[in-house]
Amino acid sequence: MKYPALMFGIFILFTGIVLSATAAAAMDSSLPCAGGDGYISEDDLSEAVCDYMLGEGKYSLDDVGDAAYIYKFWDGKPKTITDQHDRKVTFYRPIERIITTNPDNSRMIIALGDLDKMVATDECTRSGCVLYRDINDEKIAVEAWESLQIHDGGQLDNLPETNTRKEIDYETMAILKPDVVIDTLWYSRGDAVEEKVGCPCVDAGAGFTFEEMFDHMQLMGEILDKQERADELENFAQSKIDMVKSVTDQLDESEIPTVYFAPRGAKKGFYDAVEGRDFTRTEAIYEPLTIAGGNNVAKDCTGDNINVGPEQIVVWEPDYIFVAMSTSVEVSGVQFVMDTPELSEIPAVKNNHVYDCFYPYCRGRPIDRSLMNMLYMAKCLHPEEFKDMDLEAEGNEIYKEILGADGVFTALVEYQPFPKQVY
Amino acid sequence: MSVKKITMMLLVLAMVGIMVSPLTLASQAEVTGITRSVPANFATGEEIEISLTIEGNAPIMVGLVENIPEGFSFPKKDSDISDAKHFKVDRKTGKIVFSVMDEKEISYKVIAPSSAKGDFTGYWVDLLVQTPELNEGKERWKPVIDPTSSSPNKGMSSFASDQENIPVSTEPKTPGFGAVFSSVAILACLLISKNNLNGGNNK
Repeated sequence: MKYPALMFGIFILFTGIVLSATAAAAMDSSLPCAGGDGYISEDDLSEAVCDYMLGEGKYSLDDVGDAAYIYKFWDGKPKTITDQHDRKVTFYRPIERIITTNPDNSRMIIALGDLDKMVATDECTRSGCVLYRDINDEKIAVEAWESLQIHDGGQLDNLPETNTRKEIDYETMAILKPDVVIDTLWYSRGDAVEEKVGCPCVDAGAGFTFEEMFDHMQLMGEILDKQERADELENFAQSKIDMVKSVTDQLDESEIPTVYFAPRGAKKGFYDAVEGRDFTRTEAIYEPLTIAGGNNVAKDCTGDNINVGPEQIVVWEPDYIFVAMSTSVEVSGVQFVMDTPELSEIPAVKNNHVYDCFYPYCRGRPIDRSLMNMLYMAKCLHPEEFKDMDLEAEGNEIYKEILGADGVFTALVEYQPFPKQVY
Repeated sequence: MSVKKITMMLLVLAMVGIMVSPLTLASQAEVTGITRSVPANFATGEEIEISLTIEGNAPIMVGLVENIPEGFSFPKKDSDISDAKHFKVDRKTGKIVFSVMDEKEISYKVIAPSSAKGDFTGYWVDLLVQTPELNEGKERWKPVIDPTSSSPNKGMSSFASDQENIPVSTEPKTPGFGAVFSSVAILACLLISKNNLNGGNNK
């Protein structure tokens, strides 16, 4: 045989690759300290604990601790949940190490009180999607950043980054040995993550209806054994919805104005084929707007990425226009709308009813922004009815409930002062 | 019974249900300390009872090890040693270990010698503590507090010196791949170098 050393080297390399792949894919599919029947009994657990304390047996503190948790809180059995892609995901270990791939899931983990279990996350959780940064990438609400401490000290941006918008670093994820990866909904890659990282993966995310937001909240509560806290959060959000609805439900149909909502802003004017950051993108369903007492003119549109013609917006003749403003832009889209001749005959423009609003996306559907937009839009659309609502206090309360940090809304508005016009 | 009364009863029951549900209790569970009580006076050959009191909120899941002083011994029959539900004894090393589940007090018996050396020492670990640390071990063990002991190891403050005697486990959680791969790699190196030293097949 020619080049036997080379051949042998290739064989070794191949063996290494196979072994590495097997290691990554070796998902824990049995309970620690169980007696072979897929169930941890009191006797199984006690035997393992006594052996561990004697320095005998094969189990580590991680094993007996996990077994004790499963025995006590999962009735000694694996826990199976159904994720938002109807996948059955089974946990054989309690969750102590979490990796998230988008800010909605990170935010919900913080809201449920488990930030100290996050061991890695995505680029946007680290940058400005959970807490804000300005156009120069400087932190807004610095004290809030400092108050959110990760498990071994440091702020959110000190967490290792394991994915960007389009790329996911499976190898680093596997090295970090997470107990779960909580992935976003729009890639449907839960099975691939499980195979490559070797741990359960849950597909989860929020939407633009509060029912979808609550489903997300409850699923996250179920995954983290924090149902009680999830209920608290839901009740908090529901109380804000009820507060607004108690007023807007009393309005006569004639008092509900038509509204065009430009959730992507107007940074690129009418057309942005690449990122869709243009005025003509809209959402057919944006519940914060309808609860705030607005009639969404695009409500009958279908599809996920709605991009209407400017002529259609003119034909709709909206009474009000909301143009979302991201913290990463300097110029408000309101000026574009007011200065564009094609839009000059729209009632909203003629009556000066064109407003900025909070950017409702950030690699997801942030619940804090949905709640803030609901309150802010209610004040814009029905100023008399909501004149007693203290938007600043409400905004700060929302961030306190979700992130546990004080003064976030006040700091945000110092940077982006458009909400002050309806204070 | 009026509808109002029934509603009130259901509400109370629901509240109780929520309060005692396992997952509500999960967030409250924490053992804060374990204290040992040893009788002040005892005679040679007397069977004495050592009590251990567990402080903290239910649910309680604790691993506990007690080392009895040299000279003391355990009663011959295990059933005479303790009423605790789950325990094991290592007579050779003078250790008794417990798996404590939702008990606030446990005890065990020892036989007093004519002369003894050392003190009772013990460690416990709260098994329901969840942390993201990997390969946790005996650094999480805490000493049993013994207010009556003459030993310097009678409180938390003495833990550091005593901890030196606790063997810290360093083995990886899932051994195997690293060892196998390393062995194969060493074997490969040996074979290749042997081949090269022999001049290979292409000499």
